[in-house]
Amino acid sequence: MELIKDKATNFAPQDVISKMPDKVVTHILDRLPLQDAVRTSILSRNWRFKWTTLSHLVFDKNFFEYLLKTKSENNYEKIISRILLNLRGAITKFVLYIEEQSYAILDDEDVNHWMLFLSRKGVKDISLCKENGPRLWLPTHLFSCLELKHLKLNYCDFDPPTSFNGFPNLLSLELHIVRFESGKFAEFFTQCPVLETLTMGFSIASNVKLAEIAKLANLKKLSFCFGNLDKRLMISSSVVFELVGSLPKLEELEMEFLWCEFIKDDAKKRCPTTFPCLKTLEISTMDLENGGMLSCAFEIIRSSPKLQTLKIIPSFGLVGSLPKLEELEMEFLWCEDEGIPTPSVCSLEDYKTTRLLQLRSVEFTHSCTENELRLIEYLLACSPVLEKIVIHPFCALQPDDELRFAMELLKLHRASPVVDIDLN
Amino acid sequence: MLKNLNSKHIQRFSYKYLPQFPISPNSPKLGFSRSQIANYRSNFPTTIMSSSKTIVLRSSDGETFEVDEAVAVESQTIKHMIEDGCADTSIPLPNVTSKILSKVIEYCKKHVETPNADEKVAEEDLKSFDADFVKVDQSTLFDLILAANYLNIKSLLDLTCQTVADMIKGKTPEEIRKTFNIKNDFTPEEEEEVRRENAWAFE
Repeated sequence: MELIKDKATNFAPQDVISKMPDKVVTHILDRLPLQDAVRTSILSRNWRFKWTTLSHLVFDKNFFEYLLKTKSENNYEKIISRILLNLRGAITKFVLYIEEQSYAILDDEDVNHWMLFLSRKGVKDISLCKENGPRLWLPTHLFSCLELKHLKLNYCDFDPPTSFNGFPNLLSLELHIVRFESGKFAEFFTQCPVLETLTMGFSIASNVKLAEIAKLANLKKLSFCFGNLDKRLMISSSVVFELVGSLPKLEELEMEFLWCEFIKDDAKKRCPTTFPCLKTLEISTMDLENGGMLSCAFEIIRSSPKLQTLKIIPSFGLVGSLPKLEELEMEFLWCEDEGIPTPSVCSLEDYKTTRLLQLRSVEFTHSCTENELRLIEYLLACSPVLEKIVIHPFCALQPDDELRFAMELLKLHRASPVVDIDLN
Repeated sequence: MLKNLNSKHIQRFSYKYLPQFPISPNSPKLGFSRSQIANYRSNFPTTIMSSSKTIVLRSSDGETFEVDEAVAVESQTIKHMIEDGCADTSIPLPNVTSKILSKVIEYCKKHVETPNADEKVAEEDLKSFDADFVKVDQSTLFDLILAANYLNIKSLLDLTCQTVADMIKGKTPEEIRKTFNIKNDFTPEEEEEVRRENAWAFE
């Protein structure tokens, strides 16, 4: 009888999950919405306090929406404070989303005290987002979280105390609608020596100066809205080249030209430096009818020997007027070898090889204009290792136009035998 | 605006200002000859050259597996063992059975072989591989988690933990107990106490 009983328990389904090591349970619970993670406390005695080893605290929109549905909607601070009091492990990630309705209830001083608690727990990733109402006041204890590696701020005033010496470990910074006092930007950037990723969404009050961004020598990834510059109405090729040239380690670049005026330089500017590490380039709201912008984009592509991925989203505001043909011809003459002033330093052979691109994938949004065709033609002809080019239509175009565009595309010469042209 | 742009506009820009592009492959375009292009292409191998060094891994039940070094070092644990010079003959893995080890090796191979994982096509292929990879019974899944934890393979640990998290998300406590065979050993008073402590989570 005993033998049968033993066998029965051996074949009974086992509770494997409760025997997992703490580190694994933390990994699993971190991936759950907070209310699900806390709810595991009721599963069994063993599980009662497993949730207290959580290392990711995400009080985002979903969390507040969940709370709204329950009866405890007026007790946000108490709930968050009690959760924080229970946590006994290191906390690596903290996300707080503040909405207008809850802002009236979330006391600034509470947020400050939470920040102090987190700074002692070695938090590495903080996101503070506010979407409406008055600007978020940044808690002063945020600036004592010196182990911070990732910071995301939305809709606030950046106003550090005078004793602030920067975040020595900060690797990535994401700022949207953040207001800096003039000059503070530069100071802040010099105090973050290892910064690798910078994302700045458009913010009209930013008034950033180019020189300030140029100080981030270690930057690998930049996503920048040129509308943030203090001289946004006078962007020219030299401005763009200067910015990209001052960041030698840059690998990924996203440029957004919304709300900018691109002026054409008088001389046809060649890019003074090459961008040795640039692998991914994305240009948004690029006005293809603007000769200056087009040549600027070409120069950057040509000066990036290691460029592998390219994505271009043209702006469609000025489709009404198409350029004169002579102008077009001028733009493209320097692609050919007849009568163009080649730089005196390199011979014609060198000139040819520097134009071959390492591009592997291109993504493009089009609306059947001629300039787009030229651009794609250049890319196809100069990219021997191109693997895939994806062309999305910007909006529903007339089938005639699409067909003609497709036919023109098919006729273009391709340097790469394996390229896959994908027309969505 | 866009509807003004019709086929007439495109036809107007004829190609007479640019060199003609006959389809014949032998005529050089934009100054590059075929040999120049072939030469340039040879600098960019698109397949990963297999490393000549192989590592032998030994599972808890004595079975040996020979893998490329590039695949083996997906595991940080193995990578450190190699760097410390403990990998001369074979690497013993007493915590991993052969069944699990073969699956882990399959995972690492696939992830190492996919070049340019940030390309859309390769990314989707990898995603569907991952989705199929975790369609296993619960005990195998947890064994994979423990193996990924021991061997320190971050992507596998993330994948398997996410799968378990998806099994917990949105379920009532009773459903979770049923899925994982957890026995409820609370007394009614204790259960009431737990509910009260974090009432907001139980509404």
